Amino acid sequence: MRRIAILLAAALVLAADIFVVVKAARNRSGPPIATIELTERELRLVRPQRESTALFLELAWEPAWGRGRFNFEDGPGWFNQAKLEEIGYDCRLAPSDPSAAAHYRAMTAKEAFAVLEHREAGGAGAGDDGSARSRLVAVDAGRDFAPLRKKYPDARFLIVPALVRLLYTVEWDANARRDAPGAYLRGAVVEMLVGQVSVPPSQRSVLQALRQTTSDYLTTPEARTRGPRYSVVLLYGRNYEPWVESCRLLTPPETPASSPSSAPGK
Amino acid sequence: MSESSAKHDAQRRADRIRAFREELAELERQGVLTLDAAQRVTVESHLRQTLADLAQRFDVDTTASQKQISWGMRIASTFGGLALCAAVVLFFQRIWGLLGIPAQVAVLVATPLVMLAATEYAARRERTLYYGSLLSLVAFGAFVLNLTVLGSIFNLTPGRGALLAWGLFGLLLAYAYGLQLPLAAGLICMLGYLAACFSSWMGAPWLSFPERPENFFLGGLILIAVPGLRLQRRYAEFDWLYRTLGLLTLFLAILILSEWGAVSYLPMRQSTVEAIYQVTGFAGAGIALWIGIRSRFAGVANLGAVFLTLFLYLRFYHWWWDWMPGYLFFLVIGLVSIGLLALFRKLRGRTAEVVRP
Repeated sequence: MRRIAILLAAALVLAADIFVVVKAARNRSGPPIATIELTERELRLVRPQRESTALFLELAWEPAWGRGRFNFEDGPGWFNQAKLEEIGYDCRLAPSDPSAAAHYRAMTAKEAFAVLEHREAGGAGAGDDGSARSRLVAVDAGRDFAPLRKKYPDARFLIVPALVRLLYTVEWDANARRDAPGAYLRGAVVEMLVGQVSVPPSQRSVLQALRQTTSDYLTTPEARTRGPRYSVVLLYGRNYEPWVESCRLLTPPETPASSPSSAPGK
Repeated sequence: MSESSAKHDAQRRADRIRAFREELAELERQGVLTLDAAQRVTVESHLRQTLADLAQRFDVDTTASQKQISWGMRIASTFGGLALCAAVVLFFQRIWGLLGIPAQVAVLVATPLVMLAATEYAARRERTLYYGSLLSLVAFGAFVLNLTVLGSIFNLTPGRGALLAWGLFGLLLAYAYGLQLPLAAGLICMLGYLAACFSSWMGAPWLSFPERPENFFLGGLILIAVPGLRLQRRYAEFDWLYRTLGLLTLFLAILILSEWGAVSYLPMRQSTVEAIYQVTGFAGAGIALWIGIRSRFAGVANLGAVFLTLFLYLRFYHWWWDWMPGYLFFLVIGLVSIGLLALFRKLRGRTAEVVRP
């Protein structure tokens, strides 16, 4: 009995590993479904632990989660109640109902495909328009990949599996900078199913030279003048899972800090 | 009967012999019973022989001090296992960037297999399984590292299948050697897997499974039911862990729902859901206490008593805290505690063996 159990445990380890490797190989077989070049603004360098030698790139997009809430001041936008219902949320209870806040805030996230548009600023460096902000902006979401790809065929649209969440949002008076009477429902892309991409050994030497992670770098004055330090070509395979194709360091701008618009873009 | 069950029974017999010796000495000291020299030699020789047999066959603790040291060894083995798990994870993080992908995969696959072999080697050399238990925990940690890091290397979408694989691995290790630590780890993973499946069946992403406590009901009930299975009878020493973990899961889920009904699947008003789970919590804790006392399941009775008290105090807090002065509130809590003490004392008296003159 003991021998059988140990052999089964060893077989389980091997079977699970074979499954993982085959799944990864399947994702990368055939032509990639998307290819996109992003900079440090969109793919942020992180290290999992202080002593770790592994490098990861974390996908960043707008609108971003910050200080415990999304900074929406413009109403529901494209991710309105109709879109939430299309994704599968039951929104029949009116937001004005007294129990609506507790009802909607308890709703769990849902899996969906998020459409992220890569909005390149023409030749602008990092220091011009809010520097650190990602230029990947969530512009749509849906339950299936194919209709979204048909709607957004351009290569600047990245369609990725994500978690979206319904947000019960109290109206905001932008002039008075405080909550206003009334509430509405809106959605938000809260998490990518694969939000971190590992840097393969073949590309590690490019990024290893960078001493600071992106979050540390962005707090330095250099970040304002220099802008992003690297760009990465990211591919997505048939399982919608990404991998890094190549990385390159971006040359710092030669012009003085007073004219950051000449900093290289992607 | 499995090897671990036989060892468990052997230890209980050794404990009984030790208690018998102590009681016999006390009876002789009080002059209630005096064995003559021949009887004393016969009894003592029989007990010594029995203990020697048990110690040789099962390596049981035959003295109180041996038993205390064994507890220390168990604790050291658990902490050692956890520390070695951390060492394996951190060491891999340290060398990760220095290896190519084939080498990374080879290291990740080999580590749990090597640890499995080490566990088997230790188990063959040592019947008490302190080293075996330690190494089995490292093997489990290495397998968790294996799937987590492989997923990260290839940027795979997280899947709930990993929880199933870890759960099965823990159960296989536990049943192979009769070890409780891998069993606990495996059961927690299985609870997570079942909750993730339930979450998917209810239309939510599996990753959201911790957000709905009702996702854990199915797993908790299954765990409580397992000791009743015929197949499980060979492994009776695991029963308490199944019952304790199952009940703890159920009670914690009910406790959360009784306080925050909005996270329930039930299509009712929040206050109605909370009321339903408050009643369920009281009834469930009461039933657990009753069954625990009746069936002599100490863990079940203790959990029932703890949660009954917790549910009661939470109600008091909601009913009285806002309007009652603080001193009065704590006075009432103190008086209720005294009432509970009297109740438990009465229950204890009823369960005591009736001594007839």
